[in-house]
Amino acid sequence: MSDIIIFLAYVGLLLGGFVSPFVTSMGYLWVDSFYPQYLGRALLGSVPVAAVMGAAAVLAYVLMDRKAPPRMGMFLILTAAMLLWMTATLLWAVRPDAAFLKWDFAVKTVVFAAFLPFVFRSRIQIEAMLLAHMLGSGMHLIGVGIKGALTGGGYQWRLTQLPDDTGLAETSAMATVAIMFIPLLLYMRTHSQLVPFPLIRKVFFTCYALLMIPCMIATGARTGIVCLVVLGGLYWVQSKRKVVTGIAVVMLAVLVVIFAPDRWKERMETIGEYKADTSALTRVLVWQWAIDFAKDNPLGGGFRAYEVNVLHMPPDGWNPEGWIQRGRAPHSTWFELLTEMGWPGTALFLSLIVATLWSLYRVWKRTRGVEELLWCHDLARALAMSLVVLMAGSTFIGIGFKSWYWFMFAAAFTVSEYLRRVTSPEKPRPGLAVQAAMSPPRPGLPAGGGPVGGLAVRRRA
Amino acid sequence: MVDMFALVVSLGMLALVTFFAIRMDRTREWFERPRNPNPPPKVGAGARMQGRFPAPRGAKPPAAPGQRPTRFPAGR
Repeated sequence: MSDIIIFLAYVGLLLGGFVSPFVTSMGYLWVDSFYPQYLGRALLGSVPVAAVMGAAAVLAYVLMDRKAPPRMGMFLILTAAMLLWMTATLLWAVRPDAAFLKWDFAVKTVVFAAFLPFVFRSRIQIEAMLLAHMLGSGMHLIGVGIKGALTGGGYQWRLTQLPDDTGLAETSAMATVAIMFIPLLLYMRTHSQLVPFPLIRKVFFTCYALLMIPCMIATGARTGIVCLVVLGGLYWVQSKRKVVTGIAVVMLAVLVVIFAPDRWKERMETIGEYKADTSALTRVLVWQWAIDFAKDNPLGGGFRAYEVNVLHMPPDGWNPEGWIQRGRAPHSTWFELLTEMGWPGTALFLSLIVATLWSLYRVWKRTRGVEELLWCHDLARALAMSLVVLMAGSTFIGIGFKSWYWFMFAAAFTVSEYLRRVTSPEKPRPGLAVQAAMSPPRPGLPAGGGPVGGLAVRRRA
Repeated sequence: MVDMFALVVSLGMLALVTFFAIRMDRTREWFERPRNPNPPPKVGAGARMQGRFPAPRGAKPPAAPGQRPTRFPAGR
């Protein structure tokens, strides 16, 4: 039954591109986060679902939707530079075959992120982009959230139907994404136009956001509590009523501690005992190895360079003479970048983060006090908070080339491009004066002041 | 059971969102320019509220929002 439903959803999004071209790009985002090839194996297991949807998205755009492309901003320049650098590292990769495998999916992620701002331009489209991504992940996050609320979950429990190391199947990644989605879900609760029924909108997005807490607890990942603390801090810092917000954050923390199962509390208590915990100690040792590797290989060792590492673990109860681990992943985006892309690649990635946060700050500042652009103001804030939470979580999990970072970069760029389009003065075109004189006023534009130019909005906002 | 519920909810919302995205994308301007928050004041003989015909000479101006309607003119 579920196979048929998933198949129908996939085909519906694919065919929806004939009606509105951006729907196939929505479909790609959904496929990238939902993984229909694993959940609907009977009908889609042997179909290259992402390749088909991606090709359809590009074709739909090229044939039916080429208009108002974004300017060549920092996001596109840095993304192009990153693509070139990623490809260049294949030349000196220490594990060429493994490097090519990771390069293959990383390039697709980055290229599609660069493609998104061309397709999603209007408010409706930007919201559809965000919702396609969040509802695709929602299948896994909501399910795990309910399971977490009912059972409490546990570390290394099998919570999703996804294979290991696929998207949200990794516990730290799931905990990070769950907390990262909370600001975006609360934004949708207030501003979503695509769920035009207020009761459904408020109930659905509130429940989805609330379920992210048990979802984080169910994973048993300590990364989740780090993300939650960062998110609480962000809400407190930007709150105008700091005492009330502080009390609310503390009450939430108390509720989490009261309702969380004992095994979760025991695991959280090991955060400071990294030397006694194999998982945490391995991370620290791999990070030390990554710094040494980057000193010897400043241009990086190509994708999956970590496979050459050899870690000498200290003695423990099972191995009184110590033991050796080989090929351990860094479990940190920053050290992953350092070993794979070297200093130049790491600098490019950090530049992308800085450029994204800066563009979101500019959107937030320029739309302050403009009623029609209140949604941009709130969305910029929600995206910035989500990105900071993602950065905190990705310190403990290597997700630099998974879709989440690149989706956030692209989403921020689409919002800043939207603002640039609506606030830039309309360019005079040949015959425009005659057209304006003969045509009736446009119904979408309000009377009383009319549209304003970019400088005017910038000055008054 | 829980996974089936999550599947139905997430796909149901996706169907709703896709439907309204297609519908709204086809019926709305692809972007809406913001209104000037501080429109310049109109001066001179042509000054009047935009979108309304000028009132005839001697006519009572329209009631301000929130003003209670009066049954008789003042002074009667």
